[in-house]
Amino acid sequence: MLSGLAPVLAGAIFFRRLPRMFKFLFIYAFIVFLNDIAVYSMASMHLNNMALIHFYTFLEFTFISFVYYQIAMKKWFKVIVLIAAIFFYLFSILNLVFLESLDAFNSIQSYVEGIVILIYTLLYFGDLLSRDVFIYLERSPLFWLNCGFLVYFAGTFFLFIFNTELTRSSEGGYWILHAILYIWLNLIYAVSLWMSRKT
Amino acid sequence: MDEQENIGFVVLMGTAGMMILAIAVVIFFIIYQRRMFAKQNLINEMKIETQQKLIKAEIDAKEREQLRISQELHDDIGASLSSMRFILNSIDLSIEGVPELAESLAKTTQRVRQISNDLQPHVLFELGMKEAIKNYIERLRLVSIKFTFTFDTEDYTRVLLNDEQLAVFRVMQELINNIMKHADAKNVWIDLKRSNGIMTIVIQDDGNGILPEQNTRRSPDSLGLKNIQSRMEYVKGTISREQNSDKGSTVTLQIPL
Repeated sequence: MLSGLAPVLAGAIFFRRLPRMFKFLFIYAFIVFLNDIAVYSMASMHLNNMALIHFYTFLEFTFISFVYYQIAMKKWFKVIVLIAAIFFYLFSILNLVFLESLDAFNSIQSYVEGIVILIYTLLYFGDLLSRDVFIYLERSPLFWLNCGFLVYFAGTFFLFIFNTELTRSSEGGYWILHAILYIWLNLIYAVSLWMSRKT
Repeated sequence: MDEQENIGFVVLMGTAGMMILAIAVVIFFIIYQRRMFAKQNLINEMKIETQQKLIKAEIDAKEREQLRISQELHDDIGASLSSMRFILNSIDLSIEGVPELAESLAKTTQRVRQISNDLQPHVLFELGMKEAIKNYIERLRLVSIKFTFTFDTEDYTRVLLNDEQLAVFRVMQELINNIMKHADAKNVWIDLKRSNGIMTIVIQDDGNGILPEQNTRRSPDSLGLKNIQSRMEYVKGTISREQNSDKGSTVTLQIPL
């Protein structure tokens, strides 16, 4: 949870110098940090916090789709993001109504989200290759953001697929993997915010 | 328990595999992108080199043709005119019409010499840009355009190769011809400077301020503009044109040395 503080601090320090899209990243990171605090607090009080997890997934997908829609240079990429977003929202509603209620972990929604985001990351690589201008990738905050999403969602893919089984078996140890990847993602957010500041 | 251990194993292996795959994709992409752009750069460089060669070949062909015409004018027509003058000098000048004929012949000889020299400016190769421009302006003064010519003469030495000098000189000829034909100017200033590894030539006039590209008449001047651009590309220089705030226009040539 504390790793969520990194992007919040980075965004707060450089807020005025951030481009528009990274200001949104800061706001998103801030909301997620507050959500993490709420999730942790409810868990400490042995309250069901699954609704907050649902909210988090919805917010995460919306933000990431917004990012890719903004950074896509090709029209086909933007169209794919729009179609994928519509599909995911419809699927989420159906999932909520028929499969995973608000008080259950949204593992199906999570790995569908993971698949869609992984597709976005690969399409972004294709979009980069089709550009005429050479970009030094190591210096591009968007490239790092893309890599962050790729590694995080690839790494958590199997965790979310087998989430129910892992929870049933009380094998909490595997969720350390998620914690490590979550720290990685927050660090990527912080690095992207730091790199994107206007000098 | 076994099933749970299996699931745990699958999750671990799956996670590790996916992460390795993700990292491999990122590394592969970075390397592939670099190679792709390196190849593209190489292709672009080759295209530029080929274009340069074509421009040079075109310019060389034109210059060879001009040299041929210049030599024929000098050797053939020039020689004939000289013979005619020699014969005329031996005729009694008191005969009616002979002085006028002699004067007309002298002017024609002079004109042929000028045309021959314009086609192949020997002064440029023998004495350099500065002297060639001075010589050209002196001849233009005969058609009553007043020139003010200033240039930086400190440490001025020949810094361009012969064919590059010729290309720049031709550009200047073309620009000055344009001013004479279209700008309705009374004064033309030519400034030649060299600093920080760049030769800068500024040609300014006090005419009507119409820039060459604004002259929409279909005339050989559009071909002239193309010649200017080709020659500037050949010497890897730049040309900029702007209208002056008070009157006339300014053309600036910059050639890297």
